[in-house]
Amino acid sequence: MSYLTKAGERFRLDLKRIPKHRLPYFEKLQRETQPPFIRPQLEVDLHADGAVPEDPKKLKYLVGDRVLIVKGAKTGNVCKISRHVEHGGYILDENGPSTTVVVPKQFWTEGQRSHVVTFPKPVTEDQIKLITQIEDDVTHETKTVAVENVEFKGTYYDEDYKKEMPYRMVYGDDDLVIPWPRPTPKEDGPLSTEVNTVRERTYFVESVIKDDIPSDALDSIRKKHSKWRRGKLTKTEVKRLTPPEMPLTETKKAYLAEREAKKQQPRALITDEMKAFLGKKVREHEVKVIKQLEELQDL
Amino acid sequence: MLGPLSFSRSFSSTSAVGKTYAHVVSRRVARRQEYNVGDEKPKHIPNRQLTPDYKWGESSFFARSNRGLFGGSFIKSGNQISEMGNKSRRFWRPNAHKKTLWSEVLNRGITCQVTAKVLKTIDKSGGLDNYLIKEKSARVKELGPFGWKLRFEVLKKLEQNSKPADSQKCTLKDGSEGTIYFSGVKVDGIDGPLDITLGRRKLLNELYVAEKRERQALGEKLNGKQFHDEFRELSAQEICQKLASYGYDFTSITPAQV
Repeated sequence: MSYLTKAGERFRLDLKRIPKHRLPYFEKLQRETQPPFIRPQLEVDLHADGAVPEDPKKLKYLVGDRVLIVKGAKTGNVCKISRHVEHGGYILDENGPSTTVVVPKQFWTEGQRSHVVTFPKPVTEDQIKLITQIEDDVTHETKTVAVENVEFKGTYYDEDYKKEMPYRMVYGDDDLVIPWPRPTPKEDGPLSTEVNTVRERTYFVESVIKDDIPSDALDSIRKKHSKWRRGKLTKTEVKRLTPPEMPLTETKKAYLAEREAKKQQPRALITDEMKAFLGKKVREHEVKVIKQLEELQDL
Repeated sequence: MLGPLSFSRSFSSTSAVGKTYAHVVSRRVARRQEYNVGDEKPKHIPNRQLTPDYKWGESSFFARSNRGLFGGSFIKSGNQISEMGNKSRRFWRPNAHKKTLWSEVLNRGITCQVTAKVLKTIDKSGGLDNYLIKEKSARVKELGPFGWKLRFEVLKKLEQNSKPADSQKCTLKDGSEGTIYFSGVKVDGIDGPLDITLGRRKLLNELYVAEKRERQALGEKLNGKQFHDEFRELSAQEICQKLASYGYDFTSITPAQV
């Protein structure tokens, strides 16, 4: 099972953990040890995650976009983007740049007749400019232009991509929205479910209080033996989780008994005579306070 | 009547007598979660804690005080000042010694570290037991986790001692000597009160066998855990009643008829 364990993962060479000043050594090593037909055509940043992003904002140009090559041997050619490659590369159509390498016989593909093979060479974002058609303000004619840069604002739901897509517009000009290219439609497979079947609503909540699903059916809907279900506490387990109580001392027992006895005693009754006496005292105090206030007002 | 100014104590330049137990009362103690039957199980169920929780928790510094009777005293620090007035840091440990103190209630000696001051207090209170079971909050603070544990043992023993001994010797059916644990147990369907020569635990074992047989006949299963949850709180009389309902033969667990 050793090939399945991840125990040695921490000690493996991880280029992302190599400090930046030591990277050129590994880049050189990679360059020298890889034969030309495997060597990446792009400059690779070993620290960066080279995977092709899914976010259209990060991709900037999608498959089907028309672009103008502005750098390199094929400058001035207009091509279509045919696919994305790792480390931010775009593969263009036959008008794009290509490279010729020698491939040893064991790597030959079916039908290959020569050692020399021509591959499309990926281009980076700065080597291409997006091409779009805009209407001229003066002549009102449609003309094809290359866009210096694009920016993304807001989102909308795209029926063809079947996801939320950002609006792509000319940088600094929000009115000039450049639509995304239409993707090649995917055909339904034999196991696909029709959209209408999926969207048809079959379940309606009838009561907030009572569950429509019978309790016996719940086990078939939810995982009965899920590791997240820990079950309910039983009496024995509650006892295990509860520490014992400290027994009461004789002093405490006597105190509690006394308190209980005091509670049982009837409350002291206030007689009319007492009430009259208290009332008289309060009245005397009130008169005194009023007199003091009047004296203060005179001052 | 009292005037506008009144003092319950006379003026004094010294502070009020009594320790503040600052190191004890300032500890942060986690609140214990309460569990009830039917709550969701926690990730880990530990073995049962054998002593009650000490309100003031354990000391995180000078942890030696958690394992002895230190009377709320801890290591202290200050300066050693030379004749020239130079200060260098130093500390003072509590005057603690290893002693074996006799507990009258537990009928055994308890060996622990105890400070001279606490020894004096124990002498004053008239023995270790009296020192441990005093109810005042200051005493509870100075006991510490170790003293609290001893207090629990002493109080538990006192509680046991206060109960009248209801067991008495008898002769069993096979001629050997036995003990009557429950006398005069009245069970419906059986003539006369019964003297049971089994304790609660063994009575429950008898009921488990009978109950399991009964459930098997009904096509149900019963394991020890389920049984424990269901029947653990039954009294001796209730257990006998249940046994009688299953046609249990009580002659084996009652004294021999003379």
